[in-house]
Amino acid sequence: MSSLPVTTPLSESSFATQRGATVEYRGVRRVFGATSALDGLDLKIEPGELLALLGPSGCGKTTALRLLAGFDTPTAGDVLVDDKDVSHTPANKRDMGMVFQSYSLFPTMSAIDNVGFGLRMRGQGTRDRRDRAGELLDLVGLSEHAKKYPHQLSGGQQQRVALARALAVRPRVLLLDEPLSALDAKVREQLRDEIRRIQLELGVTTVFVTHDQEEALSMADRVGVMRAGKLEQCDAPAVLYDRPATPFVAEFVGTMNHIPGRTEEGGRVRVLGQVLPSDAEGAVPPAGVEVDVLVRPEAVVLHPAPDGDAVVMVSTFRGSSVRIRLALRDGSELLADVASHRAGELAAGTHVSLSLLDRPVLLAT
Amino acid sequence: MTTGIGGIAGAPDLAAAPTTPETGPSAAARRSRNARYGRWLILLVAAIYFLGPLVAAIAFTLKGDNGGISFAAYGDIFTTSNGQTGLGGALLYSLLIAAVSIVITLALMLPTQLLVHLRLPAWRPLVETLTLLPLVFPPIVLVVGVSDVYAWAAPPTNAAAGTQESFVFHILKFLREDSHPLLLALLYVILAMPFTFRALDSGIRAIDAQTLVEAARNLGAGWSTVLFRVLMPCLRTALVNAAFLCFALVMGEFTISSVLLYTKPFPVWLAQLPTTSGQVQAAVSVFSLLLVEVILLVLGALNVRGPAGRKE
Repeated sequence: MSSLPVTTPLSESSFATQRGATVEYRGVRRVFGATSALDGLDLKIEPGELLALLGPSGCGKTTALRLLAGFDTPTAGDVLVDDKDVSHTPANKRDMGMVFQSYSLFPTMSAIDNVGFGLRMRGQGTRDRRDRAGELLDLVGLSEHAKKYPHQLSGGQQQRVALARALAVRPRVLLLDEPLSALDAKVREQLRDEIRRIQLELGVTTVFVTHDQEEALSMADRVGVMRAGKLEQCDAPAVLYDRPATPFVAEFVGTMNHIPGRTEEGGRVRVLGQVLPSDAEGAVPPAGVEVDVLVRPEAVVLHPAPDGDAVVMVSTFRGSSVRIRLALRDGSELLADVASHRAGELAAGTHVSLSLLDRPVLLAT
Repeated sequence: MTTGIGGIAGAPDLAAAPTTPETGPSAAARRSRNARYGRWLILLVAAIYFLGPLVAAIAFTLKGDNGGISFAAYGDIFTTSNGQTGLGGALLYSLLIAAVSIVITLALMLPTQLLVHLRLPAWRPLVETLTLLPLVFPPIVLVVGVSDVYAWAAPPTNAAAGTQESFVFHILKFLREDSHPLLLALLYVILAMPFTFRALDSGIRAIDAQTLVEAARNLGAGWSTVLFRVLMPCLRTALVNAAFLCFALVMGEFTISSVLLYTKPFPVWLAQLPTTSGQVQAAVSVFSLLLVEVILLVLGALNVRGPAGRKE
C-alpha cells in the first residue's frame, strides 16, 4: 500500500484566500411521479462549513445535492447561494465544483488537462491554465502524474485528480457525492483526511453526501441525517451521537440497545434495576408507562460474576475495543463494548453482572 | 480382482473404470490441443466460405487465352464504360454519396441517441424499434413509396407547357438531381439506421455519459462543448464504426439507385457494363472490392488509439 503522497501546504500556495458561500435550502420539495424524494427541506449551511448529508439509500440526500449542483430543479421551494435564488440557474453557470462517486474524469484527457478543463471553460490562457492546474495537482500530491491519462491512475489517484479539477475553478461551493465509496478502506481513510485538510485550508463551503456514518462523523462540522426526504436532525457529530433527536437518528448513527423500561416520576426511567434520567426534554410519558430505553453499547458496564444476570455469547475484536453479545436471563440479547485488554476476562460463556452508566437515556415509546 | 459369475464383486470396478474423468497434466494438454485444432478447423471453414468465391474470381480474371496467367482484364478496367461513365467516375460518385450519407447519419443519429440516453431513456425502446423498420421493409418498398410521392407531386403528364410546378415537386426534383443526388443519400441514411443505431448505442453505453456530461456542465461547459470536446472524443470508435457500416452499405446498394434510374452509382454502373467480357467485369469487381477494403483500412488507421488509449 502506498503511503499518503507529499502535498504542498496550502498556506504557501495561492489558494488560502478562497472563501465559501452561504447555501440555503428553503422549503425545497422534489417529487418524481408519486414519490416525494425531498419533502420540505429547510437547511442553512454557513460559509466555509463542511456539512455531511447522511442517510440510507433513497432518503433524498443525493437529490438535495443535485438540486444544489443544478442537475435538477425543485418542484417547490428555493435553493439559495449567498442569498441569491439559483433554483433555475443552469449547472454551468453556478460556479460550483463537484466530485462524483465514479471519478468522472474525461478519459481522453490527461490529468493536467482534466484539471485545466474548468479553467479553459472560463477562458483562461494556456500558460495560466497549466500553471494553476499544476499547482492543484501538486496540492493533491500528483504533480508527477500530470501527463498520465485516467486509465493509467489508480482509483485513489483518479479521485484526487477529480478533487483538484473541482477546486481549480475556485468554486463557491464544493459538492462531494460519495467520493470515497469506490475506494478501498486504507485509501478511503487517507483521502478522507486529505479532503478535510484541503477544505479547512481553503475555507470552501462543502456539502458531502455519504451513507457511511464513520465518514460523516469524522469529517463534517455538522451532519444532517435524512430519512424519506426529510431532515431528521442536523447537528455537530458529537451532539448527533450523544443526543440523537429521534429514535431513527439514534439507530442510524452508531449502535443502540433496546432495553425494556418503565417511566417514573420526574422524567426518570427504571431500566435493568437502575433509575436513570431520560433525555426526552419534556416529552417524557407519564409515570408507569412501558418504554423502550435506548442505550449505547459503550454505556453498558460489565463485571465477571458467577451469579451474574447475563452470559457472554460472542465477543468480536474491533481493535481498541471488543464488542460483546450478551444473553440475558429473560432470553433477550444486549451488546456491550469494553476495552480490548479486558477481552480475556470476558470470554464466551462467562457469567457477568451488568449495569448502565449514569447518564440520560433516550426513550422510544 | 476376480469376479464371480454374476460379476457382483467386480461390478463397481468395471463400471467405474470408463466413467472416471481423465485427470492430470497429460489429459489437460490433450484437451488443450483438441481445443486448438477445433479453433483452427472453424477458422478454416470460415475462410473457405468467405475467401473461396474471391479466390475463384481472381483466378478467373487472371486466366490467359493460352491457359497461362494474364493481367489483360485488369488493364481493360480503366477504359471500360457503360456508355456514360468510367470506373473512376462511378467510384467517385458513390464515394461522394457515401460521404454525404455518413455526415447526415452522424448529425442525425448522435444527438438523437444522446438525447434518448440522457434525457428520455423511456423512449429508447420506441427509437430502437423505429430504427429496425428498414430491416423489416425491403428497400424496394421504400423506393416505391418515394416514387409514388414523386409522381403525386409532379404535374400531370398532359399538362400544358409552363404549368406551375408544386413546391414539393421542386424540392424532390432538386434532391433527385443527377449531379447531387441528395435523395439517394437521404434514403441510404434510413437504410443504414439499424446498423448505425447499434454501433452508437453500444458506444454510448460503454461510457458513463450521464456523469461525464454532468462533470463537464459543472465545470462550466455549454452543450456544444460537452458534445464536441467531451463526448465525441470518447465515442470516436463508435462513430468510426457507424461510418464504416454506412460506407459499406452505400458502396454495395443497388436496388434503390437502380429503380430511381441512376446510372452513375458504382453498383448500377457495374451491372450495366457491356457483358462481352466476363473477365473484365470480374476484374472490376475484384478491383472495387480491394479498393473499398483499402479505404476502410485507411479509415481504420485514422481510428488508431491515441495516447489516451495506450497502456503504460
